[in-house]
Amino acid sequence: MKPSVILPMDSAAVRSDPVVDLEHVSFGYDSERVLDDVSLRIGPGDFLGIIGPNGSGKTTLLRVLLGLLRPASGRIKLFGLDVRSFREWARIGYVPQKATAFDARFPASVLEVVISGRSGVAGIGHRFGGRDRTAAEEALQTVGMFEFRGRPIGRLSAGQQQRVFIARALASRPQLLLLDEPTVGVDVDAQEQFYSLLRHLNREFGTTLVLVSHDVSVVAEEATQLACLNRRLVFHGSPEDAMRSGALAQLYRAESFVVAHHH
Amino acid sequence: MPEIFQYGFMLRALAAGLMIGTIAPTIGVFLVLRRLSLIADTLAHVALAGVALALLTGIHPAVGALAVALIGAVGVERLRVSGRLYGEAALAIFLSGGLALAVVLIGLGGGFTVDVFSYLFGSITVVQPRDLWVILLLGMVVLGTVVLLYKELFAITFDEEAARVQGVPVDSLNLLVTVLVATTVVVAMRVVGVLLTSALIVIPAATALRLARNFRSALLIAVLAALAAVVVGIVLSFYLNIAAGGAIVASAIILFAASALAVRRP
Repeated sequence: MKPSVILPMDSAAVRSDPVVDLEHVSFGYDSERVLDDVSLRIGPGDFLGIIGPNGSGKTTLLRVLLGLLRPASGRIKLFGLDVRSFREWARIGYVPQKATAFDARFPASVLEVVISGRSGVAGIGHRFGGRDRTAAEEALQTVGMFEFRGRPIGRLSAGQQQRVFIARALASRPQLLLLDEPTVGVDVDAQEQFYSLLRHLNREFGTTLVLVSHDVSVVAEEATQLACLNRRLVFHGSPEDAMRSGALAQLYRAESFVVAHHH
Repeated sequence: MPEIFQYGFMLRALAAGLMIGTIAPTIGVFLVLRRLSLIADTLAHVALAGVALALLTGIHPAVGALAVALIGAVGVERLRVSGRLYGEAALAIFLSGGLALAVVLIGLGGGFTVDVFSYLFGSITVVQPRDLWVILLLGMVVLGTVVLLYKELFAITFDEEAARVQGVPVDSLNLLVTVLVATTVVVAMRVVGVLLTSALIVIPAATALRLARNFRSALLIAVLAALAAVVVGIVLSFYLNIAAGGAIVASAIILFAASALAVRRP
């Protein structure tokens, strides 16, 4: 997986603003709060892992953050702009949870899928041009799938499909990349490649990463920031502090909790 | 020159058939992939109510069909998106509702006449020059819209949620697709009839989805399969003196069956 793309760095002006700013966000009815008073700031270049048990509202949080769901209360800002008036979607790449759950018979080549990630950049009524094609091919090179560009998407392995969907999210050259349970159904070797790709994007290009996962041990190892969610935000800080404070054990009410560290 | 080309009505039939053979499968590929095949049949039955209303009030049947089908399209989409019903239940309600209204209106108009039958089963050989212009105009509108919005339509067909996050106006496009289906149905109605309209939208698309390795070729194969079915069907109907609508759809089904054999071979 050799990098060959220069993704845009945050400009100095942007750097001062948080990339994502949630203030007292709640979602769901009063009796059944899926999210309860969540405030969370994600800064430029952060690699945030959002962890929590099943049903803790992780996916809901991402969907609210992206404006796909309207919160019951609270404010959401993306790059300093209210999500309701936010239009610069090219700055955000999103890999949905069930991206790989599409019908395997769908007639689309890898390149067609990846270039579709530039639909918002090219603008409505405009055809994809050479710049879009170049950006899509570069994104494919970044994830090491360039050689597969002509293949039908349904004929790839789960791990390869996952990389294609990341390439689609990268095709608009986003400053913020959000991934929802991206390693589900992906074998261990492919997971290792996947995390090294994320490290690369984060360290070399300064891409802000938000990774939702139930796989606590891996996320605690890879992410620079942890958010522990259980309808409320139980903890937000470095993985080391999460361990020290006992937030993780509390979150899962687990007696023993082993987190490997090889930093 | 073969006998078939010496008659003006057969040339008009071919021209109308080629236009519908281009737009129906194009729309069909998007519908089949989104599991909305039934929407074409639904809007065809709703359009029949429009035809009956037009025959009753004396306006042009295509105008009546288009107006009522567009109202039906908006209604179907709203009911589907509201999430209060399963998608197919919403379609079934509009399908039977459209047919019920058509039957009532036809009864008020003095029962089933030759005109009604020609819309039920198609009457491609009585396409008037003026009908042809309507068909070509509506066809160009549908085709032009698909060409203009190709990348957005691909995006919402493949992954609606990801398209939304890219800033693609998903809800407006969904409504637009339904409106395009209504328009296509009204055009196809003249050629193959209300009852066989969805066949021309769905079957060539299904054939293409078996063979295509990418989206562009899926659209291309679907259009080629439909055009082949239209030409073969019309030629057969002329020389064998059989119903054109039935012959076209039968040809499309034979192509679909042949595609299954082609796929089975390594």
